[in-house]
Amino acid sequence: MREGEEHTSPVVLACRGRAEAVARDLLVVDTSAGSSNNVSVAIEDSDLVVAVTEPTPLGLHDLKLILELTSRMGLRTWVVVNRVGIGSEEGVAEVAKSFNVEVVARIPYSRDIVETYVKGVPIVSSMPSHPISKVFKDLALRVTEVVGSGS
Amino acid sequence: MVLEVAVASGKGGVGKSTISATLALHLHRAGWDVVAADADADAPNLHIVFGLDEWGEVREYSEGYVARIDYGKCTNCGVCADVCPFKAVSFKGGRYVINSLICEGCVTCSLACPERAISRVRHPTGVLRTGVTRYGFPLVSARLNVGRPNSGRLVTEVKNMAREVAKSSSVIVVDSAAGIGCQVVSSLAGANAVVLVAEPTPASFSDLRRVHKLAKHFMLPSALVLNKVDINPGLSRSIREYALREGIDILGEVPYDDAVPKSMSLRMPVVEAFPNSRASKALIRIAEEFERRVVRGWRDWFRRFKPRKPEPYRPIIIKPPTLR
Repeated sequence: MREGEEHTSPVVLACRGRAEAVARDLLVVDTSAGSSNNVSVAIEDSDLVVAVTEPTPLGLHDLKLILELTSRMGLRTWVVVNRVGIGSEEGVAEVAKSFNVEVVARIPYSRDIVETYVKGVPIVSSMPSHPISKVFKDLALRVTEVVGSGS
Repeated sequence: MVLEVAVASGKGGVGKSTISATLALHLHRAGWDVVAADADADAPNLHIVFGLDEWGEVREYSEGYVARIDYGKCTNCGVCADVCPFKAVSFKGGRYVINSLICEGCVTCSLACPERAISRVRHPTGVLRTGVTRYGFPLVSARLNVGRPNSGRLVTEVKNMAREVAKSSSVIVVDSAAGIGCQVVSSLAGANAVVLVAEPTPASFSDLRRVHKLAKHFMLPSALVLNKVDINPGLSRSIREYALREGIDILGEVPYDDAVPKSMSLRMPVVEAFPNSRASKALIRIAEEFERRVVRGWRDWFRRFKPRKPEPYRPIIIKPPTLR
């Protein structure tokens, strides 16, 4: 979007349309923060929504909103907890349970992930034997189970 | 004068709320009259950072519309689904349904409907609320309902409420949303200065330049806080050089520190929860510099760091294909 433009959802929609035109087996959509309608536009008709949160009151606050959105849109949703270890996870488990969604992965808080992010190489490539890489690989495997072996 | 400072970063998660909270808290304790305004209605969090549970006043806020189909008149022709620019209309259970979590209320469907079966109805947008933090200064905040369009108008309402609460010599600290869209444009419009927050990642640097373009458009002097500076010294240097070249005042740098995320789980600003951490010490120094250079030295600082000329905005009009 150009600087000074205000309206995000048409751009999101156009971007998604272009991605859908070239996507074959799997389309991963990275949405913006929050739960406004540019997020609804990005996740509509998805087979699966992965809601990422962290065990802090801030994460919990926004998790409730995004789960409210996905449940009202009738979308299958998983929760991934990031930065595990910086706070209590009780709230996350409670909220997930109240929306009847599963916590599928827990990513420990680690400076390694920040450093790989800074280098611009995902942790699964730069440190494939790191315990966090295993979490991502297991999660990816579960996603492929949802997607199936490709139609 | 009332000094209104917007804290913005473009990219999310780089430390806007941490900086906003530190500035507000420090200025309050230094004796300034402070009002904090949370301009991220989509994911408001300043009230959590300040541990505020009880709002003094909560006001329902409503703007805009969503489309509604009168099924007595609808003939299932599907024109509405074809014309909807947001793909908010879908065919479900034998009829066309408008998804109110996507609809922007633009009324394109209503204009196109040959049966005139679509009208628009008011839809609650969110709430505006004010409260007093446990540290003693007021906080104005808003919360958008899920699936509503990002609202710059709601941000303007938040800022107006903050200005009502403010005294003649107040400092209003506006914590902007991530991104550069409507909400952020409204956060910057009418502010006196911008505090830009960046981390040394390519994504943050790119967004910094984008949000700085907006600041220049509004002719606002900018200050920069470089956060998590040690995670990538090379890029930190590039960002510093950019700031020098662009006439942005570098307020200071904050090291990467676990104390920051940990303080969030305690619902406290990091400078309160872990005052002796490396990040807190750096943040306090930044807040002191901000007070000295920007708040006390406003006239000189403004003259020195005001952009030379406004960044032009030239709208590009894209006509719908059918009108070409």
